[in-house]
Amino acid sequence: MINIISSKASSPNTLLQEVPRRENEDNLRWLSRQPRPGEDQTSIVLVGGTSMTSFRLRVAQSHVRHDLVPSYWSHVMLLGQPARTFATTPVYEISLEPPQGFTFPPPTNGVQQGRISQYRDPELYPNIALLNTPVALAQVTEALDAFQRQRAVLDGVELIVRWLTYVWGVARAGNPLLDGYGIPSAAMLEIAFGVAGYDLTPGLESRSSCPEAIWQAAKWWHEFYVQQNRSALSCVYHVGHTL
Amino acid sequence: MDLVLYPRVAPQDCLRVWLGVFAATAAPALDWRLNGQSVVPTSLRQVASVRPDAMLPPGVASAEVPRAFTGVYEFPGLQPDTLYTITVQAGNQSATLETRTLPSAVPTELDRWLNVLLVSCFHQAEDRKGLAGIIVSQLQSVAKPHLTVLAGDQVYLDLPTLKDFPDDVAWLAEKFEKDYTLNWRGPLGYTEVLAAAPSLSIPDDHEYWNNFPHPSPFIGNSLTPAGRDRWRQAAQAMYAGFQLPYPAQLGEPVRFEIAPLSFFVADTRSTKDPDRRFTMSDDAHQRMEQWVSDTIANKQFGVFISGQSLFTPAIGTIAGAVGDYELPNYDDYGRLLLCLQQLADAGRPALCLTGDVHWGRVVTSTDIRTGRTAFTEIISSPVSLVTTIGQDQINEIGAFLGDLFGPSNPWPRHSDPEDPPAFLASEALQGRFPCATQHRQKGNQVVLLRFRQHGSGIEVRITYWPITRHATVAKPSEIGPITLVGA
Repeated sequence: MINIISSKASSPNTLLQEVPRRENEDNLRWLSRQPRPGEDQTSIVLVGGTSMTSFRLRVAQSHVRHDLVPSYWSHVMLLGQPARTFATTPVYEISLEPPQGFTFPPPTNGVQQGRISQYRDPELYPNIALLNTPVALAQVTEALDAFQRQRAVLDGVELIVRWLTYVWGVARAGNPLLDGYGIPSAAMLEIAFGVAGYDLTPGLESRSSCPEAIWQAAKWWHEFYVQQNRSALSCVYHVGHTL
Repeated sequence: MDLVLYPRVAPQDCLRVWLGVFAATAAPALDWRLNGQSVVPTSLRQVASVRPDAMLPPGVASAEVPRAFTGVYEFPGLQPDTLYTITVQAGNQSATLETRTLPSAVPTELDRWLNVLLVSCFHQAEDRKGLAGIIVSQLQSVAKPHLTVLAGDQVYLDLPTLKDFPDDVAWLAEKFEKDYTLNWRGPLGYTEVLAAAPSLSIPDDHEYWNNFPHPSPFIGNSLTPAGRDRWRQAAQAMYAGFQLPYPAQLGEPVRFEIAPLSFFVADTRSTKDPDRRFTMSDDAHQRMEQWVSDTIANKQFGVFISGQSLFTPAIGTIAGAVGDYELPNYDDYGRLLLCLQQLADAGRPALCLTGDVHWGRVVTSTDIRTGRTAFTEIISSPVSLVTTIGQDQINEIGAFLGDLFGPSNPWPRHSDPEDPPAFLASEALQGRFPCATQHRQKGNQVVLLRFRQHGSGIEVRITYWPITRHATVAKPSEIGPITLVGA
């Protein structure tokens, strides 16, 4: 059992809004029409995919939910400084399906820099959410730079290997979340935001961070942030696929 | 004459140093330098003989008795987390100490930590080769401690167990001074541990005698009130000379902060009531209550340090009288725990650090009202296991026979860590805080705690460093990270 604590909030965060996808609208256009983050804010993108890897990840996170149903979300990433064209805006992540392969991940502690355009296809990624956090992007990217040099703090490479063995069904590999190993990209963001003084998953006392825990923070932990004199996460989302 | 300097825990804007002048017959005149500049520090304890005149051998002039003189001096107006060089000159002797002021806050950076060394129970006779000092000095290359908590039994004044000590305060004071000198002056002894970082001491029973203030069947001097009083006087004079965290007075708790950590160091030994009504004075309890209030108001994380474990049941009257009564054997245990419970009520998780028991253990207790970890207790004991006549020999024979039929036992004299109670202080706190053991550590050890701010909380990594050359158990054990999340 994963030690995740339920929020005491009796109602969901009012800053969480469903924004349905328009007809034939891809994820880039959906994201483009959402409010831009403020100067002292940083955006996180959650996606829920339909690939086999995404399916395995979504099912694995059912243990973080009290109803044990699969999560909407398979992956989470940091949205970088907006580029001239939105499609080329950088994302920082540790994907288990990097488009160019893993090459040799240790020098960056597994961190990959890609483009948001990788997540354009609504068939591959029918679920999407944009979260705004009250932390300046420069603070988070500075922490992310340090993270890449500090495998001793959290070994992103180890997380990649553990999760690939689970996702690919290698030998008798079990669900790493049950052993306290977070999904790599979420664990990376947990560390980076933690350095910036922000709790991305207040319901967890361990490093077993995952996209579902971040989603629950956005939906249910708004009162906690207020108690901490911080702004709650704001979030817009669309869910087009459930398991 | 021989000079020794050790750093002491102090507020971030100053340094405190303990000065030992050994084999002297009078307090020397001192010249101090800070980073090469002549200074006059504040005297918290003016250098003086650890043995007052009344404890010197009768009929001998004090100027004819070579002995230890100690003092504690404070250098104010400094910068936090900064390296300073202090030099003291006395006659043609000098000593130099390089030490840092404490940092003002727990680091937030990924590659920075606040390192706290937790040690207890050092018996020099079982570490004559100075292995503890060697390992602690080598820790500097891994993670240099910022401060050291000496959690009790830094000396064993009541050993050797089977020797009858004269019921004479002067004789006792001289014997105790030799015990301290062996550890503080060296060679070897506890010197590397004392030099590793600014330290803060609390006494446990062996700074007095086993099971102080109660009579011990193994210590003849403790069997009469007058004998106990003479021993206590001599032991307290030595504690004041070598360990007392000035400007605190004997028995007073000490508070200090490294934001957002707030430390409360409780002397639960010196003012123990012989009738077991209390383990701390009413004044100490009130200071603790104020500390809890301040910790909650300032949204800090409490670190409660005591010479004995809070996570233990009371022991029976006979076992207590023969061995050592536990904190729950005193009537104020409930008051102490109800006070700490307020931290949990306010959603402020706390750490409890201690030693004493001759094994290591990490226990967490969850608040069933919130599902959060409310308390984490870390036990570090011993650095060097005390000799126990009889029991050691039985254990060693058992280990020898066991080795004939199975793998070698690297710790034949050490006992296994015990289970915590099912619930923390179940009488006072009912069943609110179920306990779970996270780690057990057998054998000689020191613990390095590393703290880093993470989000609005604190991340703690706990490393047990075995004090041994035995290859099978010499590897350190890391526990955590444990994350303290405030509500």
